[in-house]
Amino acid sequence: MGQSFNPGSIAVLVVEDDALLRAEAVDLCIEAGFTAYEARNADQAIRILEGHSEIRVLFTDIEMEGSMDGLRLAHAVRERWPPVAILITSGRRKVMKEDLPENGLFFAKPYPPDDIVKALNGIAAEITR
Amino acid sequence: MTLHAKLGADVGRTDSLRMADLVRRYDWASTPLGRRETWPAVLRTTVEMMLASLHPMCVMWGPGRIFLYNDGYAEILGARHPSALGLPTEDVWPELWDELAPLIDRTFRGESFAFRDQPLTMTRNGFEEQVWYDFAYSPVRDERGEVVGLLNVTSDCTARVSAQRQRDAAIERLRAGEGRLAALVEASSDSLYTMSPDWQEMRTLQGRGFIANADAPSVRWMDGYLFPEDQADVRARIDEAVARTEPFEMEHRVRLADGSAGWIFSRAIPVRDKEGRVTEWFGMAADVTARQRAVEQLRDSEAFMRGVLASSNDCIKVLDLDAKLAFMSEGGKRVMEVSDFNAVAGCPWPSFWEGAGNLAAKGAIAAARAGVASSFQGYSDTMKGNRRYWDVQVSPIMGADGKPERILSISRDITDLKVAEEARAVLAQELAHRMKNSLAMVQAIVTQTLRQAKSMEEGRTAVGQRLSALGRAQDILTRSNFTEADIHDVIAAAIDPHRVTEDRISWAGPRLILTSQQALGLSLATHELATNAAKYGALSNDTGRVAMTWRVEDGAFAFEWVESGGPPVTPPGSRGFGSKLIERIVASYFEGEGRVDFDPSGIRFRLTGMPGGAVGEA
Repeated sequence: MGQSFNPGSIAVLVVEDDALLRAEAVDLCIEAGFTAYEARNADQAIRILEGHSEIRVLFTDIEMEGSMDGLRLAHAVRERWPPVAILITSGRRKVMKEDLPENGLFFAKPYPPDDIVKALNGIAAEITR
Repeated sequence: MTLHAKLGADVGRTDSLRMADLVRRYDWASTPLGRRETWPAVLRTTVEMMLASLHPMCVMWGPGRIFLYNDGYAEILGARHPSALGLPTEDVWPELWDELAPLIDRTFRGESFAFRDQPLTMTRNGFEEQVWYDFAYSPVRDERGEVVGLLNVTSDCTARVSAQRQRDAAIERLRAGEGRLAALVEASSDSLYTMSPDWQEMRTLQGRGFIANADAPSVRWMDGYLFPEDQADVRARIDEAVARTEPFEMEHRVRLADGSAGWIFSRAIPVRDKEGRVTEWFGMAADVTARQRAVEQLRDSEAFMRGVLASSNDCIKVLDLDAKLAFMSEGGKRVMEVSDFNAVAGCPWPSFWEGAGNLAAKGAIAAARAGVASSFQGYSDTMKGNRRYWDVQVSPIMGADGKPERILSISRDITDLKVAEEARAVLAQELAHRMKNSLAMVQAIVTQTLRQAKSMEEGRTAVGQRLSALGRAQDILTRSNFTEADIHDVIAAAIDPHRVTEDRISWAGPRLILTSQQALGLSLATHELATNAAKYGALSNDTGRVAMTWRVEDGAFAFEWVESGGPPVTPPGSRGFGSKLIERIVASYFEGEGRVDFDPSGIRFRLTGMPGGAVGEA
C-alpha cells in the first residue's frame, strides 16, 4: 500500500463480547499491520486503555453486557482520551450520526473487512502526518 | 158600507159582508131559483144549514146547478167570491167543468163522492199558498125523494197533508239515507256484527271475506272467532264495556277465515230503545293483520337490535353533540366494567382518554359535529382502572334535517392485539438482530477459514462443514426461541455427520442447559474435534473410540473429549482456526479455559468454565 508510517506502532482496541467475532476483528487489525488489544466489555476496555497509551483507535460493538454499552464507552473514551479515534459497529440498529461521538464512524454488522482496514489506514495516516 | 149595493158593482165592499147577508139580499128572482120566498123548504133548509156551518160548504141546486156557498167556502173561491154566488156552477169553475160535470151529474142521480187532499192555490193571507181540501159531494133530496141539489162539504186538510208530505219526504230521505248507509257499509271492507245486550249471543256477522260469516245467531261465537288463550282478555274488555254501557274498543287477535291468526280493530256501540234499554250492540271490525305484523316485525327487529347491542363486546355509545355520554350498550358496560351507568351518564366522553387518545377523541368529536366519521386508537382505563387499548370509530348520527343530531362511538378492546403487535415488533427486531449476528458469525468463520486455508479446495470444504455445524446448532436453538439448548441435543446434532458405528463414539453427562452462544460454540468445537479425529485420530481407523463426558461440580462445568485406539498422535506443526476455536473462542463462551493435550495414545480436550446458561440466563 506504500504506507510511509509504521502501523505496528499504532494499537487498536477491539471491544466485542462474542469471542468468535472478537477473534476475527483482532485478526483483521493484525493482518492490516496494527497492534491489537481485545476486551469483552467496557470495563475491561477502560482498564486496558488506562495501561496502554499506544492505543489510538477504539473499535467497539454496541450491544454488550456490563456497566456500559459500546456507545457510552465511545463517549467516555472521547471524553477521557480525546485523540483516540472511534469506530462503532452494531447488528441491532442503525445509529444516527448525532448519537456518535465527534468524528466517530459507524459500520453496520456484518461489515466488509476492507471498509475497516480502509478506515484504520485513514486514521493512521492522520496520526503520522 | 152600502148594504143595497148591487153585487159586482162594489166588490171591494161586498167581499167583507157575511154570506148570510149576501144570500138574503141577493136578487134571486133573476135566477132559475126564483125569489127566496118561493124556494122549496128543502132548499131553504139546506142553505140555512150551510150558512150556519163553520165547515166550508157549497150547494149546487137544480138543473141549472146554481151555486151557493158559505163564509168558509168563500176563502176557497178566492177572487171568484162574491160574484160566484147565484151563478151556474159551470160559470164558477169553467176550467174544471169538464171534470166536475160528470161527478155532479152522478151525484144528482143519487151517488155520493168524497175527494181527499185536493190541492188548491189560495190567497187567504195576501199571498198565494198551496192548500189541500177534502170534498164530499152528497145528493140533497126533496120530500118526494128526488135529487134536487148537491151539497159539498169540505174541510181544510192542508196541515194533515203537509205533515204527511213532510213524513213522506222524511221517509224518502230516510230511505235514501239508508241506501247511502247500506252502500257505505257495503263498500267498506270492515266486518259488521251485532251482539245481544250481554254479548252472550252473536246475532249477525258479515265477515267481508277475512273472517267467517255468522249464518245464524250463536252463543259459541267466541270459540269460533277467538283463540282459547285470547278469550279471557277479550271477555274482560267486553264485560267492562257492558257494565259501563260504553263503546267497546279493542285490538285483538282473531281466527281468520282461512283458520290462521290475524288481528282486528273492533269497535261496538250499544243500541238503545226509547226507554234507554240496550237492545243490542252494533260493531265493526277492521282487519289490521298487516299492520300488526309490521308492528311485530318491528318489535322483532327492535328485539334483534337490542340483542345485537347486548351481545356485542364492542362498547357502543351514543353521545350528545357536547360529547356527553347518553347511552352505552350492555356489551359496552361489560367491557368498560361499568356497574352503574348513572355513574358515567352525562360525563364528557373525551375525558375518558389519556394522553394522545384525549386529543384524538376531541378531534373525532369535532369531526362528527361537522358530519364526518373518523377513527383512532388509544389507551383508556375501564371503570375498575384496568388499562385497555381501544380501536374507536366515531360517526355522526344524522337527524331528519340532515344535520348531525347525536354522535355514535364504537370502541373495540384491542389490548390483546396491541400487546401481540408490540411483541411481534420486538420479536421482529430481535430476529433481525440475531440474523445480523448470525451473518457476522458466518462472516467470521468464513474469513478465519479462508485466511488459513492452504488451497481453495480445502477452504471450500472447511467452510461448508463449519457452516453446516453452525446450522445444526441453530436448528436446536430454534426449538427454544434461540435462547437455550440442552447439551445432549447439541452434542448429538454436532456429532451426527461424523458417526461411524454406534459404539465408537459415546457421550455421557447430566442434563444441562446451555446459552445459545455456548451451544453454538460447543457445536463448532465438537465438529472441529470430530473432523480432526476422522482425519488423523481415533476415527481415522476402524477401532478407535471417542468418549465425551461432562459434569457440573461445585458450580463448575467440565467437558472432556478423549480419543483412544487411534493411530499414535503427533502434535501438529502449526495451529489453525480449529485450534483457536476450541481453545480460545469456545472457552470464552464458558468464561473458562480450553486445552488440547496431544497424548500419544489419543487426543484429549478439556474445557472448564461456568455453566452460564443454566445459572445465569435460563
